[in-house]
Amino acid sequence: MLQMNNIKKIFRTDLVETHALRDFSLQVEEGEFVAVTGPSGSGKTTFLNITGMLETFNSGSYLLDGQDVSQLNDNQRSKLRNEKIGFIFQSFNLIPDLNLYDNVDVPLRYRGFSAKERKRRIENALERVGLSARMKHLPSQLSGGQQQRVAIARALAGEPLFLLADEPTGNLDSLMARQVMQLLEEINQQGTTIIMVTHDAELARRAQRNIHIVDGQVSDYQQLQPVLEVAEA
Amino acid sequence: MFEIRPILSALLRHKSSTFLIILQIAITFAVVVNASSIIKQRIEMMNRESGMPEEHLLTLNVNAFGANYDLENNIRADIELLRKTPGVVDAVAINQVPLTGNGDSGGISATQEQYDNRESIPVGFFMGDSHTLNTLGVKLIEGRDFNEQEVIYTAERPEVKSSIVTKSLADKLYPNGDALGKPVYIGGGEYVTIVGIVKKMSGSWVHSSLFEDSMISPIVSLDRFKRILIRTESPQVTAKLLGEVEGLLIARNSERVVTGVRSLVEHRARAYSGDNAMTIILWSVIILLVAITALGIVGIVSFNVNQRIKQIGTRRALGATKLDILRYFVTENILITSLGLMVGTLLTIGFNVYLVDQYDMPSFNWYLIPVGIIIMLLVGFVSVLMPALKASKVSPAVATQSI
Amino acid sequence: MISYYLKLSWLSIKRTPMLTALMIIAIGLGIAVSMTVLTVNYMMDKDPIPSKSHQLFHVQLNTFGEGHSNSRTTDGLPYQVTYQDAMNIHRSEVPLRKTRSLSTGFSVIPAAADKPPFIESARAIDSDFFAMFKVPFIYGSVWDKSVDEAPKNVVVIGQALNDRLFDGQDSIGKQINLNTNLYTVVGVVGEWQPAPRYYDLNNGNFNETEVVFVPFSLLPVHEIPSWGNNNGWRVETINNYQDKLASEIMWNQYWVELSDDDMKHQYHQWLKGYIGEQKKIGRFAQKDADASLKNVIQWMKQNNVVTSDNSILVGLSFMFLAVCMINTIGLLLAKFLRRAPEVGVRRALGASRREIFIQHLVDVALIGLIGGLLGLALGQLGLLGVKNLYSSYSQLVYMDTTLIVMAICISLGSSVLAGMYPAWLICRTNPSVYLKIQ
Repeated sequence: MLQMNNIKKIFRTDLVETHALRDFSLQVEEGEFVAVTGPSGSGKTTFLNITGMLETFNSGSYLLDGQDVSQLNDNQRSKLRNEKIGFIFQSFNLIPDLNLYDNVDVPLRYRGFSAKERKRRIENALERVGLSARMKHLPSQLSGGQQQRVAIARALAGEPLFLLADEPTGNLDSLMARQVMQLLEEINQQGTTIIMVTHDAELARRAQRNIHIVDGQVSDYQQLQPVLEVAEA
Repeated sequence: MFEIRPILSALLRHKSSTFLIILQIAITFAVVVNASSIIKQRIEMMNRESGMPEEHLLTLNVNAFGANYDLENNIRADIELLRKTPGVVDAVAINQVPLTGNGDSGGISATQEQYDNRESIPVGFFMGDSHTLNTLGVKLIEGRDFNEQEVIYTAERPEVKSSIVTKSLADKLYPNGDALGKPVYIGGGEYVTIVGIVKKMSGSWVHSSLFEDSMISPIVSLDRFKRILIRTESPQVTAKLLGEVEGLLIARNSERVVTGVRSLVEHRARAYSGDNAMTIILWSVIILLVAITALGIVGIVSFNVNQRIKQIGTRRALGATKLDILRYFVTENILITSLGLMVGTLLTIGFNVYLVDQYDMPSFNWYLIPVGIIIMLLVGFVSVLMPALKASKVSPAVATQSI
Repeated sequence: MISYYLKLSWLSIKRTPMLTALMIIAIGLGIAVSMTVLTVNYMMDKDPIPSKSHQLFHVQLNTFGEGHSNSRTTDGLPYQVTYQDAMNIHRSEVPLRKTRSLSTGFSVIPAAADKPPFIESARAIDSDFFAMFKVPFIYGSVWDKSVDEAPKNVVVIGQALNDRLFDGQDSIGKQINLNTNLYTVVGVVGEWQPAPRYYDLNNGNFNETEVVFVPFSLLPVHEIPSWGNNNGWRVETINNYQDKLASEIMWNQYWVELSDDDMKHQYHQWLKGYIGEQKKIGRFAQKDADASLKNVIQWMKQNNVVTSDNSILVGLSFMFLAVCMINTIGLLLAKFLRRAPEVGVRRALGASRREIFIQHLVDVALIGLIGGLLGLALGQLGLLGVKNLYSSYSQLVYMDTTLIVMAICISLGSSVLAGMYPAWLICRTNPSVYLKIQ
């Protein structure tokens, strides 16, 4: 479903070249829940941006649902992003001036669905995250956890190939974080593929598969459990 | 795929700044339409056909002071001299010259009864000899010109029998179009007969209602202050004579002072200088006002774009193309501009009603409103384009940046 | 504290240079346009003789026959008076001062044969004229009062003519030749150019003053012609100057100086008596024929010294200023809201609402001041343009101290007014909202 081979991403300034990703390869199959972890500066965000087609890369290949992403222009990438990927951001990124209904509506508008279809999907998605009663509320009237659930509804409404979550619980307290995590797990169990980028090892452990990025490459050893368990205890 | 409803609800979240732009556009629109209406009306007035070859005409005044100055013979000799001058087509001693703002006016009517009931029509009275029409260069469309025998040279109130009127005046006196040969009452029970009708001729007062209503009589009034009108072959001769004619006349007889040597082109410029100034000032006001409003839109939209960088990035991440983003801001702006123009249209009409009521301004042409709307929409579009293009260039990657 | 606010303002200006520049331009243009228009209007409307504008009265007599009126004025009265009325009402002893007045002109013939004759505009008046309208003398003085009744060839000339004929020397007692008649110079008047030229609003409101003044009593002697308007309302056969003097044609003007309301009332009564007398011989045929006394200010208003074009432009320029200010409010809202997080911090650190409010108003006032100064500079350019457009106004068009102070006050006042709402909005917002988001 998603296949990256030898992806290389270099940031150039006048003075230095930074290799954010070097020979990065990854394959994700349908239905998986993959957590991508790594220390800050490891290339996690670059991985996220490239996976989400928010950024281009220098070399290597990225096949998404069989399509070679590197061959696409900006408009085509936007379209693909809209159809295949459901984004969940650390800071929710809801549009403050729009109510929940209109927020979930945003990606559907760009998809060009009919009004009826959009309505069905929005109501459905909000139902799934348990917020259908608060459709007319503004984001500022909700708690952080609720806001993130709206963001998840927004990601789900387009029925994407996979959800791409960036530290989905990073801005939440532990109770809310747990609830959001539970929701993601439920969604995964219902068949949606999830790729989650996080620095939180405990969260990562709850995923089926963990990928650890160090220095722009997938690290050989995958588990740091004992250390963290000690820390947690 | 215009997101009108969500844009509207987002705008309603920012009532005050939206309201301010709407108000600004509304007032700008009202000022622009009303100012253009005034400009248009002034330009139309300034462009009225004069019926005369203005570039070939110049005028001057002769102020005789000699104690034993023979008025009639001097006037005859002056005119004869001028008519013989190379490059001069014709010349005439006349009581008033079109476009100069000086002269004689009064009321006339088609019947004595109308005159007694004070239903007379205001006219400009022109007096000159049988060369008057030819010198003015106006076109006779009915009847005949004056002949030399009818011309009366006098310092007293003359008894004239014939007169030539402009078409405009003829139609007011005799609306059936049969003015030729009919009488015109000039007061005191006296009347003159219309012997000729002139197609078009400017009067002396450009802002007067009688501007195009003139009556010419075959009289040369013997006066120490005498106006002379000269028609030349070309603008070059006019320019040359402007410098030479004073010397020419003084050389013939030095017991007078020649003043006011001016071309009709200059008289026209002077007559309309106020309107011309008003036009220029109003143009400046329009241009500056539209510029201010455009700059205001650029400023506000730029600010909004800066405020919404994250939101734009998110939209891009969720699948909006660059064009979608551009379209979002342009649609938003067109919506606000349209609202402003709706309010503005009401304001425009109200403002115009006030101007018509208070200052006797003619009311504006309705087509100025749609034209104004199109122009303002274009201005709004152009102003929003720069910041909107900037917005469309926001990278979708900002969505994943923590501030 | 103010200096601290000023420092903050300066910092905030530096932080948002584009928004600030837009606001300054908007205020500057608004002030420039409105001040340009206001200057012209103010100068036209200005009291040309503040010390006496309420004592000098222009006399109008309704000599019209039944059914006639002056269609160009609101009161329907004639602008001028007939010669016979000017002569008759001059008999009244009520006014403090009084003068008949006629716009005319002469050919001035220099003594030296090689110098060509030239035309000068002139005014035929009575001896009180100079004291009434405060015309300053540099040499000599006015002719004796007796000349107002018993004509004599005497003349008062203006400085410009004295310079031209006598090289600016004291010319009292010398003779000048006007239309081949010799006149003795009794006085030379100095700089005197009221604007508008309120003593004769029928012949060019902003024309130059005359440089030749002769006794009005000379009219029949030299058959002095009118260079102004001659308004008739009935058919009269005028074959010569004598006919004109005896006619109902209105071609003279009449001014009186009345020191107080009592005197004005008394004079009005006198004029009513005169009208009653005249009715007996068939003149003043209208039933309620009356006299009207208008002081300088009323007379200027009646004659539309401030044209409707001027008034429209004043209205437009204030709408222009309004747009500029609305524009500024919008930009200020943007600028202040951007600063909301900082305000949140300040509030959290103990700043009161009042302090936040004042800080933002100081911000706005600074911008308003800079905008006002820019507006003054641009306004000078605007006035230069107006001077080119209306050559006859050139002497009018300059900003005096009052106008400069006014410009600064308008820009400060209107920008602070414009800043009120955004400043109120920002000081009212809950600081915690902004602290949380960051």
